[in-house]
Amino acid sequence: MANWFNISCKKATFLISKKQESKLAIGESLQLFIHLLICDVCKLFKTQTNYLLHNIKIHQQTERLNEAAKEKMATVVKDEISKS
Amino acid sequence: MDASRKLNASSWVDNYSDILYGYVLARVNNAAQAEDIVQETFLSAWRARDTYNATASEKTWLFAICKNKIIDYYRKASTSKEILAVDDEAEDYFFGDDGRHWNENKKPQRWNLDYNKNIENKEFYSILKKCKNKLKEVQQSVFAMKYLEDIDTQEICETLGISVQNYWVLMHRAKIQLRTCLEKNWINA
Ligand SMILES: [Zn+2]
Repeated sequence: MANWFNISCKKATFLISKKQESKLAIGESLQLFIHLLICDVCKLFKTQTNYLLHNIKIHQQTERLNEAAKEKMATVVKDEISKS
Repeated sequence: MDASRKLNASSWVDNYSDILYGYVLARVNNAAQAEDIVQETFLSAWRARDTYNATASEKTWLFAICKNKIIDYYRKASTSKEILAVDDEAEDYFFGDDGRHWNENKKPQRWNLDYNKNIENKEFYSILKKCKNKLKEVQQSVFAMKYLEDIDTQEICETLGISVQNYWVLMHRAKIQLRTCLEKNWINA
């Protein structure tokens, strides 16, 4: 039983990742909860990945197509349209 | 009147190529791939013009087609060979043989920032992109489909032909590697 509560950091981080997207089983939840009480490193992993995921929204790209590529594309599309 | 006649195909490149390109470029590895996808979007849209029913705007409709092209791209990039190679290599790098504890020089370090404040510098996104490109392609696909396209887990698994168990392993590896890469190149740059 003592072993069951005592999960590794490898397992704990796996559960942290999983919890960011879905519900954990009750047993997993408990295992993770206990691990995070005693392990500051995994706690840091959790805080930092939560933070990163929260910020990973698509950033509006301002890059534009260059004119040459755009002209080429316009020609290809025009050809396709004129086929039918 | 036939809805497809409302489409103004001869102006598509002028009107939409820049915004589609920006959208795609944020999601694929390089400019050439992004150009291909935008071009294919226009061609497919034209060929499928009879399916356009004018309930969506022309722009929305083109984006939907483009999004499908991107998902196709993720699917093709994730070769089955990579998916089958579910070994412990990636984790061993972080946790050592028994997995009990973090390797001393691979542990997360404290970051000197306020976690409650959103990241506003542009640099973060360009470094994120570089870090993402370093992942194995299947990990990139899984990560991008979830966090950039907001597709649900079941659908990602079906599209990529992977099990849910594999999904969790791949996703976890993507996250643990991205965190480390960002710490190295963004936090400690
Ligand atoms: Zn731990």
